[in-house]
Amino acid sequence: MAGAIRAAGCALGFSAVLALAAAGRVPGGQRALGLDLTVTSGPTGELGVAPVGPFLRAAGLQAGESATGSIEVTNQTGARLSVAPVLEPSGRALTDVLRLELRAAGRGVASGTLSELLTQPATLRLEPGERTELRLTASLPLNAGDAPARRVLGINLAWHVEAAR
Amino acid sequence: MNPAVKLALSALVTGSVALAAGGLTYSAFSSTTSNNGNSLQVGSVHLSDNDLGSALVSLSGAVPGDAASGCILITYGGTLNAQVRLYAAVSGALAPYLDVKIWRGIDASPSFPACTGFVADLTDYIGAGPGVIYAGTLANLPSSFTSGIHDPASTGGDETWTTSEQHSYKVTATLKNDPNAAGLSASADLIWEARNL
Repeated sequence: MAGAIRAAGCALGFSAVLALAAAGRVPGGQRALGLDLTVTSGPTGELGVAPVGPFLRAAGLQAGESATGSIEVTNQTGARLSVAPVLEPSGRALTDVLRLELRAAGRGVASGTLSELLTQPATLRLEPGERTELRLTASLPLNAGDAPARRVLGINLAWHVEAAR
Repeated sequence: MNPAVKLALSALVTGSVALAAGGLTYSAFSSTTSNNGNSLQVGSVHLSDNDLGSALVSLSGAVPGDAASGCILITYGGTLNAQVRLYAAVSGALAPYLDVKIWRGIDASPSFPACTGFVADLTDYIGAGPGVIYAGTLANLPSSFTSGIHDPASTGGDETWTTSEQHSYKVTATLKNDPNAAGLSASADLIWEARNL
């Protein structure tokens, strides 16, 4: 009799726990894990940059989606500068898939896949003391499929700077 | 013990133990992701400036009392914390007749070699006024990192330079009123050197 009561009590306790656990369960989602992308930059002696560090973050970017970040660059020299943004990705995955578009003060500077921009860097000119906003848009085309799934990519935006001729 | 009480106690004990275990399981929020293209990098030490190879200060055809000033922005692009020292490679017989003063500060709108936006640090580092880190002749500037001018922290000691840190320096050179300086010339390279801590 006592054993039966104890067993019933245990069953009741487990049932209560299961009910509570089910109620507190995090609901499952349909969304697949995508690309975690971070783009960072920093100043050089000639070129001021704001903000310093990450300026574009995208968590779980998937095919058909895009993310945009802005950065302000300033010519800190007394001469006209030719500035070439240099992309330094942390890995080679997705270089043929990820598309980037760079605009300076609303004007297109460069557009293409990451691998295309690695081999054909764009340039812009800055007068002494000139400050301009750069907007970088990263997007994954619809046909990217599952390629971005569970990928992590960091890109450092460095600068090649020289006096403009 | 009353059977009803026994039933309730059994349920309570079992439930408490199971909840504790469940709590542990559910607080360890789980998710998976893969990390590709891992890379290993050695830390770096890198200083750069905004002079594009041009001179900071120049005097030509100077007479006693003539002075020239310029400002330069130094940027640390390394990943390792570093200390920075300033020294110079000086040549020419005019060096003892040129008074040099160097301030450390910030510049909200740097444009080499202009000093329009330069503001000296408030700290009196060497007892020569706010922001001054050197006051002496060009000839007496230290000539190596070992003897170099320690870039100071406003709170005392050496400044620890971190990634993307920037400081501006204003340099003024004044020709002394000394007839022995007539016809002489001098040149100097100012060198900021960073070494990781």
